[in-house]
Amino acid sequence: MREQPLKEVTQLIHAIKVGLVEGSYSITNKTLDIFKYIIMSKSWQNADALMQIVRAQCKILQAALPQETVTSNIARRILKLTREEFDLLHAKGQHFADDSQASLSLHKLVTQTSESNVSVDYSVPQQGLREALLDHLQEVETELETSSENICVQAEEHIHSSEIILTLGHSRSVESFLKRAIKKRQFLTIIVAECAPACRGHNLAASLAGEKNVEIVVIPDAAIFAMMSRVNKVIIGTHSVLANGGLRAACGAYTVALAAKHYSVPVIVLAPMYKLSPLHLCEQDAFNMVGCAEDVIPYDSIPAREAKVYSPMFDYVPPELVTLFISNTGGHAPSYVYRLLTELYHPEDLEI
Amino acid sequence: MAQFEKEIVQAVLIADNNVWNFKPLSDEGSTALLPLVNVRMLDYALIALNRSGVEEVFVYASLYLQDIRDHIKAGIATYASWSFKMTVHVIGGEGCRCFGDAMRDLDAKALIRGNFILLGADTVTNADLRPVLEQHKRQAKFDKGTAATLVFKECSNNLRTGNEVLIAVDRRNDRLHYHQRLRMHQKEPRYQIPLDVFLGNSCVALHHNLLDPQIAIGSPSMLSLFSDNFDFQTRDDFVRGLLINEELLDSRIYVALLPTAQYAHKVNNWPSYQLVSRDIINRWAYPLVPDMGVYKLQQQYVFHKDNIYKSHGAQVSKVALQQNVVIQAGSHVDSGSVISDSVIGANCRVGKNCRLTNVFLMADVTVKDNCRLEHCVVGAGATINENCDVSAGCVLGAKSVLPAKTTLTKTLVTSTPSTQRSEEEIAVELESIGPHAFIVSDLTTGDPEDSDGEDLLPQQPLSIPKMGDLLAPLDEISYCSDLSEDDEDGSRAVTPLPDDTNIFLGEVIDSLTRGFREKSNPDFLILEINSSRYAYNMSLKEVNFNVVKAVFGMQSILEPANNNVLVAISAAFKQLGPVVSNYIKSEDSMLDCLKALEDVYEENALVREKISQIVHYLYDKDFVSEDAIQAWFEQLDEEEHAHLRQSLAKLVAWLDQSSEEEEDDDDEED
Repeated sequence: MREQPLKEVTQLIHAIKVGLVEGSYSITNKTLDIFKYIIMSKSWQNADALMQIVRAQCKILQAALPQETVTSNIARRILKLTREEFDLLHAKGQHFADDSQASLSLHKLVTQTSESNVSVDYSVPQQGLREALLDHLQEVETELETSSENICVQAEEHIHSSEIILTLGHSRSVESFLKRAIKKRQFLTIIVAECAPACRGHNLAASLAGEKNVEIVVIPDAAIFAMMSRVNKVIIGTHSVLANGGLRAACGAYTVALAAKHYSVPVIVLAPMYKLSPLHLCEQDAFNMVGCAEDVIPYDSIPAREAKVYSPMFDYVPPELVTLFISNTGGHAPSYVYRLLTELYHPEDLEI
Repeated sequence: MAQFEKEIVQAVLIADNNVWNFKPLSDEGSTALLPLVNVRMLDYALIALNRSGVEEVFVYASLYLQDIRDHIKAGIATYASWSFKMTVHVIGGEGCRCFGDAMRDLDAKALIRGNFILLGADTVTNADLRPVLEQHKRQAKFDKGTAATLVFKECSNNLRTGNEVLIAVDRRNDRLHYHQRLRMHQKEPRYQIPLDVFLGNSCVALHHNLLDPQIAIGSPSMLSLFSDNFDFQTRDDFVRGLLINEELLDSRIYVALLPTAQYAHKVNNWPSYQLVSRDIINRWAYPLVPDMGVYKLQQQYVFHKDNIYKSHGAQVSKVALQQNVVIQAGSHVDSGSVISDSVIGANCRVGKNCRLTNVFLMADVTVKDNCRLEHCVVGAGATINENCDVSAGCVLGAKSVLPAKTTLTKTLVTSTPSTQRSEEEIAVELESIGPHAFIVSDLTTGDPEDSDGEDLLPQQPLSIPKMGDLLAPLDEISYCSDLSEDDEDGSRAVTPLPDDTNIFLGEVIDSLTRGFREKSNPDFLILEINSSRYAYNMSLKEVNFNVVKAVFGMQSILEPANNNVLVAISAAFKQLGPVVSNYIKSEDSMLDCLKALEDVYEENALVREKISQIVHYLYDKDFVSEDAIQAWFEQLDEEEHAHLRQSLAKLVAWLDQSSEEEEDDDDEED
């Protein structure tokens, strides 16, 4: 039986579809608010019921917005939190029962959870689970809020004075990252590829041009390869990071990454933790999203009558073209992404 | 109290127009609920309004009120994307039969509080109407008489779906001065625009490549105008009435053009249905495309290359789908079938070795083995048996069953003989091709229910525009004057002349028309014509030629009462005779006069019929001499003017005869 979507969920879906909410950060934030609301509501009595609700709502979000992976990432985080808190409380309770010890040793905690992994009955009502979850959720929220700031802090480690940086399109994390670098370093040159047809690179250039001591160059996408030989570092944002360390990034990112590979320029990808998705690139057709044909060719033009027009939104960038991920917890190599994923999400939640 | 001060954006949706054009499917349900790429047309309009930030919508339905109510209810229950932040009311009833009635009813109910967006339920657009609404509000602040802002979209000039218009706009304030619908199937060789448009305004832009997507912003005064003028039936009536009685009604219409990136089109007949389906599939109407989950909360399709939208629940091999196909859940296509440029609804079954091109199958259609379908629409639940060949704009009604081995072209088929709703309650006998298949006649002699009739040629019996190859070139109308007769402002066939000559001719026509009407002194007219002559540096020959042409170019002769052109001509010559004879004196000028007549003969069908009587009349009244006629007759080219020669032969023979008699008389006298 299908679960009915919550009013908040349908409203969020509509807002994202219409474009009222855009950017992964705000989508993540809004999704987190919904899950917080679910946890606070009285509609669940035990951990199992809560997990069911979260799964159902996540499935609805996924069906409506298959490209927005951050929503399911957040749901996985919530599921993992629930499991952890439940286990912790469960372990505590058992200890009280077993040997009435208030403190529990690390050894016992580890062995107990690994044992109970096999069969944990989440449907047992657990006192204080709601409060514990809300406490923990606060941490997640703070992490989300500070993720951009935490990435920015690392700007000085990667960008040095009088370097030439190339970026593509307009990513919010890249924008604040570069702004930070401009403040700290002198004589930077920032080359912005405009990222046609939306040309959001123009916005980034306009925003950066307000800063002092920096040279901004906007180039068409066709000039990426020509400019690459002079570039010291490529810094790009991404829509999401796949399980193998590959990227689903704005269209044009593959061009940039290939050119960088050719000239052995390091490619640094700014990806906050919530963009890590346990997904693999399997079905090429469904991976991408195709935009409006009008962006590519005018409707009135004669070739438009017969032509098939594609305006893809994303590029897949394979992991071997990425040098380094910078997340809010530090720098990671693409090969390390799988490890981060196991830390972030519970293995049973990878498939929602 | 802040929320009360804020003006709610309201919109009115008119459903159930173009009933005639969507026969026979319009007899079985509301046209607003017709699926277009598997989404009801009403939903497209509602989504467009929702995206433009509209908060309250009134859907105006007449025939299938309950169906539309049920659909709205179901949409809200399934979280249709328009159901957020927007309330939808369905109003109307059997009483209102046209657009005008709906507007009058709205005015009576006083539901509209401010400026509102007016849309047809058949409009597909991704445009953001907020800037247009703002423009309208600004305009209304500036000009209290602002009645409406019409929204147009530029389109290519090579494709006609019956929604194209020619407008004249003041470029400084976007005010509409002239509005004319263009023909559906041909290109006009010329347009007739009243001179006042240019005389009254220094800065006029003519747009002849505009599409009318039936979007407008209305002021509250628009509704009261409809109430005051109860003869306004359609929106076109409203526009025309306002343009004619601009001062009387003290209302003005303004125009807004959509930017290039925004798509808008009206689906009011099968060719436009085909065109808009193709545009949606080709993603011109983005984000109103199948794989964006336009209507439902969940995404229904996966986008594959070559514009194939396939539902996960559809059983079809990739080979079967060639290009531009949408196939919904539950459908099954057997091996060996090939589908291209088509839309397949839910739970359809297509048999083995079928070929489907430009086919629109609605839900639960069964197509058996070895069928060939092209350019056709198949209603919900219909069955097409083995080895059928259906092509060239056929429409099969819901639940009809086509027997095996049927070949159909350009036919409308319905399932039951009694579903046809005839106005006069006469049982129409339908031709039967099977127990559940009856051919519906789409020919009608009267006007169809909406006033689209004037777009079509009056000579042909009217028929529903059918689907076909969208890339077929348009026919150019040949220079033939009888085609332009139906234009209400009497377009006149004018051979392309050098500019000055044309202007001169126009001025002479004006002078003569006025002189004829006001019965002014012929001497003054001669003076006027002479001054025009010097202004445009015309030679005497040209003046002679043009004066005669101008007489025949007068309104009273172009459109004579009772089509009796002879009476009109004699009336004109009685009044203007002195003017003509002032110029036509010598033998040479008479020849010019006859040459002008030859020109008129080419252009005016009425004159063509009566040419010999006209020449005879001129001869009788001594405008032209016998010698001039004969000289002219000699000059006429045997091949080029064969018909003219033939009509004149009798007259010339008679002239010859009478002159001989005269000579004989002379001889006798001697």
